[in-house]
Amino acid sequence: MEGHQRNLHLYDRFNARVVGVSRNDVTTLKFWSDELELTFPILSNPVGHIGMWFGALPPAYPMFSRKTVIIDRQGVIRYMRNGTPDFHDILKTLKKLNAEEVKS
Amino acid sequence: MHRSRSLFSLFLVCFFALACAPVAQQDVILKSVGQRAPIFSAATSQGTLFNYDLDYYGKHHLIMTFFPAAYTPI
Amino acid sequence: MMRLLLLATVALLLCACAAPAPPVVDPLAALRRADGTVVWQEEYAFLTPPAPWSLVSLDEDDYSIAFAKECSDYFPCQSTLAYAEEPFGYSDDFDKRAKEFFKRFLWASRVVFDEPQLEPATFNGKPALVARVEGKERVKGQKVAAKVVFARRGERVVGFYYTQWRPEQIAYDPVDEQAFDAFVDSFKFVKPSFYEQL
Repeated sequence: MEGHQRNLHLYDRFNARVVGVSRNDVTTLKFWSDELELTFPILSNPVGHIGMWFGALPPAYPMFSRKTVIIDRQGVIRYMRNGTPDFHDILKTLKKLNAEEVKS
Repeated sequence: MHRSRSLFSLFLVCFFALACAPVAQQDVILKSVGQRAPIFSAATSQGTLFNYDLDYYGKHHLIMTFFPAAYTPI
Repeated sequence: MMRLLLLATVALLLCACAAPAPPVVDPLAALRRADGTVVWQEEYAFLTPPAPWSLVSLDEDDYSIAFAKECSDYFPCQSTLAYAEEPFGYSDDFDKRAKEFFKRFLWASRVVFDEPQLEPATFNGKPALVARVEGKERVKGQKVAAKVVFARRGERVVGFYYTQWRPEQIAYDPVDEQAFDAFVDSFKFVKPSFYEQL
């Protein structure tokens, strides 16, 4: 999450916002987020349906796996990657999305 | 009597039709690149309600980072 | 004649059985330039610390490159030095970054750190910050001395780490810190970073 916090100004440059998503309850996420001084929201999804939609809930596993998804401004999923976030990849994708919008 | 029997038959037909329908595969609900994002909302660590359609759709690109749990490194 | 032949056979066998000394292999030889510096990922150049420091293969994103040195005199007896392109924390201000950094540094080691001692410095002619700190693992009776140099690549903060682990009653070896300082002094960026080119 610190990596995202580090890149917020770059996300802003490409008209992007970031959220974290886990199955923790809101209170736990608030304590954790405050401790890390994160300024972007972390979504609480105890039921896990959001993770299920995006393929981040492995079968018979209680927690989400690490996964990054980018949804463009038109609501279309443009990027998915399992594992820890690849910030270079994320920023390159955002740059591309932004360039597409400028062109059109 | 005849009418209630017809209704019962209709009920049975519907019941079996539903029961025999293939179970929704995870693939049906699983989203992938190129598909439209679902409508979703959730409570946030900031004490607010995140509503994708109201706050992000048509306005910003959105990066979602799924992670196992708070207090795990990411 | 037979005796001579036997002697020759024994000598031949002994020669064949003698273990040849393992050749000293420089794992970074292919990346080393004429002046002795290593160019890593076409991103930065530096002088490697002398043997017995050895390159560490790391999967973690925390380090971009790291070297370790171990000894067997006591346990723990290990030093590590590393360059991190994305050190813990997120602030561009050095003092804030140091505070954020030490929340996470060696977080899984159960070490309780003293308050870091901060000192302004320079790196490649630009302002930097040196943080020194000592931590103790009281249950195992271990201690660790750490030095972190927060520097800048473009606008972003990068970091150099050094740690030396010792049993609590054993003094630290200053030689390892000198190797770290030499590594930092030699470190140069070969090209603008990904973020500078974005």
